[in-house]
Amino acid sequence: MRGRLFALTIVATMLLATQGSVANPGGEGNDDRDFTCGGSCHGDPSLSGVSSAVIAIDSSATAFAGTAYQFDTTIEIHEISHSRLLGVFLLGSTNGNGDQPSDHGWTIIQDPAGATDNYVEVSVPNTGIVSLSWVLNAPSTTGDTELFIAVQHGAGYPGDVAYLGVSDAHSIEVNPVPANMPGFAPDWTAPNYRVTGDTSPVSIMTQNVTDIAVEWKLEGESFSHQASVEAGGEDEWLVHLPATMGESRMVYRVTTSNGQFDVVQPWLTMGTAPPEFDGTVWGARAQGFAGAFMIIALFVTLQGILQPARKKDDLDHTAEVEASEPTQAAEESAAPMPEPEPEEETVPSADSERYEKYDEHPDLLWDLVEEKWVDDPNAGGGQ
Amino acid sequence: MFAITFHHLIVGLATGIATLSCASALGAWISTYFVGGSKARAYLDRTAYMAGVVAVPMLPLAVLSGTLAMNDPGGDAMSYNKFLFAGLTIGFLVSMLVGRWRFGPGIWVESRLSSLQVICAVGALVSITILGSIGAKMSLGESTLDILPIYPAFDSSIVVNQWLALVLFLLGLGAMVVAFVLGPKDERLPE
Repeated sequence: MRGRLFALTIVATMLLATQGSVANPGGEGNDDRDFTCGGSCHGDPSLSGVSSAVIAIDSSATAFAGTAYQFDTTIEIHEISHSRLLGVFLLGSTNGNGDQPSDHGWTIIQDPAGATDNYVEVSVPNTGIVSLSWVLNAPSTTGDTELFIAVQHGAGYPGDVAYLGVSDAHSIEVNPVPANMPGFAPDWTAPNYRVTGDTSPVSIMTQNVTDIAVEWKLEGESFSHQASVEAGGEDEWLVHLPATMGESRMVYRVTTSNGQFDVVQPWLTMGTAPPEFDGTVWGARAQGFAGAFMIIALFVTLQGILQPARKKDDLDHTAEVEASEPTQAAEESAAPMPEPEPEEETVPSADSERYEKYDEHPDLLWDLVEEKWVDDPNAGGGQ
Repeated sequence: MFAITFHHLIVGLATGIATLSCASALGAWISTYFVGGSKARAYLDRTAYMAGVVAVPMLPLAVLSGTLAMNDPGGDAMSYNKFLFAGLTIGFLVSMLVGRWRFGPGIWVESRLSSLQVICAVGALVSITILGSIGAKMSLGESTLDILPIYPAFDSSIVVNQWLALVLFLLGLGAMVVAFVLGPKDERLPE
């Protein structure tokens, strides 16, 4: 009885322990999202708290319509969950819907992760400081516009709530673009990765450009290198960047020119992706079953080899055989005993067919079987 | 439509029963080191045997339901590894069952054969733990093996050409047939 109660207590404790975690601490992944993901726990006043994060924005207050614009932010945060996961939004408003920069005329050329999302999740280092950059194309219409940074995270202790922090609005005056301003094509987005070892040129689409120059460096390096560029199609440039391996990331910066203006564009990032996976389901099935069969073959063979050696008594099955044939045994026992065969001659004799007598050797006999001379006992040989 | 639900159901059953089989086999082996452990060994031996017999047909069903539940099975390293580890699990588990079937419950007291049984049980247990861990990583983003200081690189796999895989399949099948037909004759051991 006590044993059952003990087991019941353990099971109940394990079941109750599962109620301890009801949050979603793994994040939601990078994506295009509205403020607080359009209504998550972080936006619910009864479930959320104000983040202690300090958000600073260090970007230009002016932009030219339809041209590239770099938005830089630095977030300092020291109270965060044990996973150190921080979700960061770049927003055009904080209404809960229609907040994405694209809803306000901006186009994201590249986000901090190398893709084109307005929401990214980053792991906060032990210093508690995160610096992020978005490269955007400014709205094509002129006027004043605003961008915001919002963060959301947990703190990782019992009774924790979902935290939310929002920066002050960063005002940007979008000015009319000077006539013939060279820049990226409005619909061009930067490639966010290349496959390991790929040396194919990177295509850059531009407008109002007669020439471009590209400098590149590996992320974290101080000195940049000049890349070779060749003209592709109309408003297209093919940039030859060296292949990257492993998890290395390359940053590059384009200077667009048309003889009248030289515009230095923001740094763009390009990661390295592993080669495309070339497995098939039938290959996987065949390989999986091959492994199974080989393991079975190996162990069956080992079992046969390592089984205990059978003793001689185990191999002698005479008793079982005789027991299984009672009729034959009975017949054999009932049959008359065969007459004993005459004993083989052991004493040489001249009368025997086995031995021959020769006059030349009166004391010997020739053994036809053994083919040798033996003493003739009748002649006194061997005495 | 119900492939995902069925996969969750059958995976839970298959992993649970296979784990029970392997854990019981380990218990049966450990019992040989205790005086008077024969009664416990008899129970554990039967549990391992019966659970293994039930688990083996469930594993291909789990693979099949998983294949139906995915858009591109075998099209990425994680799902490809699931096929490979499913094969390893089936191989180890069937080897353990074959040993028990050939030599009877007395296999646990024969040191060399019981060591083979334990290798099979541990191999199956490790393989099925990895299988479940990959599945959890794919569906939940986290797994039991996350507690390890170094997470194994299951996002890469050993992929051979499809035709070479077929050759390996035939080779394995032939090796298994040869092992059964031409291998040393076996005899049940006294209990």
